[in-house]
Amino acid sequence: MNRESIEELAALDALDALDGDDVSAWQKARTEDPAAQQLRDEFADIAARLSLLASEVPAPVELRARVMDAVFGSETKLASEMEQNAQQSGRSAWAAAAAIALLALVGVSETTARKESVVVRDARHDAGAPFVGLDGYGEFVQAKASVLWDSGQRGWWMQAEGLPSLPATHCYRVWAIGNNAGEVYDCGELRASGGCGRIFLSPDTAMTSMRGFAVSIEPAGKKPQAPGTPVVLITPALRG
Amino acid sequence: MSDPTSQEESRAEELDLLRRVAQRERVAFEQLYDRYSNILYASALKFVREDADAQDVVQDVFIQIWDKAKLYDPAKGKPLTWALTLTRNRAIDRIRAIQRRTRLRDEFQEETAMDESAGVREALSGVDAGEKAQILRAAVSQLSPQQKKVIELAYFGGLTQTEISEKLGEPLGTVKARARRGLHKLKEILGDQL
Repeated sequence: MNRESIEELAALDALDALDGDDVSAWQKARTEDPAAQQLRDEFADIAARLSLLASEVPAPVELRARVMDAVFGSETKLASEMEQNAQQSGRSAWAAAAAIALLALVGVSETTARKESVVVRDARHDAGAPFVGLDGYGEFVQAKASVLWDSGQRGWWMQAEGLPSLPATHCYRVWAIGNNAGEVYDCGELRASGGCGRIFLSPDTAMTSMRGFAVSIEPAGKKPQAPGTPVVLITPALRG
Repeated sequence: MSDPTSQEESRAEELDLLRRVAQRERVAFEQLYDRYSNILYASALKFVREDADAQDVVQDVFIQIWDKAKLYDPAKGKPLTWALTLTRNRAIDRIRAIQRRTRLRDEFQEETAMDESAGVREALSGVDAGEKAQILRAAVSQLSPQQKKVIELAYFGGLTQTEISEKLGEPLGTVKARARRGLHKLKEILGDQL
């Protein structure tokens, strides 16, 4: 097959117009000649740009929610259910939860710890929001964060910003707060740079329900058993 | 004037977004949606013509992006052209199902007939988002009517080379040559633009 013929096949494949015997001829050519495949990719790139001929038409606003529901639907629904549960439970404020945590950290019940099916989600404060938000707490009003469930990796991504710089002696620590009294789990250190930080949070195997998250400032180099003060970020549902 | 630095930065941002989508970051996916949804919707609408069909196509495309971002190969094209290819393929599938090819061809002819007096070099003097269509029209206007017809029938009509040959009453070899020459010319004119 000469060069011209290969280029014709590459062009037609890029246009998705190959058929008949040329399909197998092209498969053979692209296998034997890497340059043929490269040319086809370049042609395909050019062909794709033809779509830009379309006049700009804004996508309907409702399409965004539809796409997000299609991709993240099950997680969104479960998060909403968790939010309803949290609201119905009328749990105490964050201050109380933290205080209870200090006393009851030891106290994750054996029954709870043995549960194998761990289904945990953050409680969303706003079912219409695209993701779960954490607000700045107390004097840290400029801080905020988002927490997203990652079904592929079975965990959460937390992304925070507006975090004040800390001396080397202190660090930010993330806590997951469960629905049951005393359910407070250390999720690790949130490393911040330029006021921003990101961390992947793996569910504690003992955790069976979730009310929200908090971020506190803790002494560096130590592993605290419960959130201390000050608290910097908190899920709104936990706020007192 | 064209700003290659800005284009490179934009491409780097899109590559980073796709990489993060491949790592299943919802925030990145939402940012990618906000970035691409209008152009993909407009593109889908050009193919399928109906809003409901275009929305279905765009939804399917974003599901594909979420599922297949890890398969994206930067060596094979820009993120946007990859997404446009997904859109085109999905739209053509839908068109084939609902038999709406003729209206597309008419539309393509109308659009590419516009602005043919504008030279390509003039059009390439600026590449803001709003000018992309103008640049493309100017480039397409440089094709011979026969080359344009073959590309139009294949890309927008979803016809195979044999179908195009039968439709135009031209030998298959002629159709192949026109496709090759047409894409070569567009490649030369557009280069790395857009």
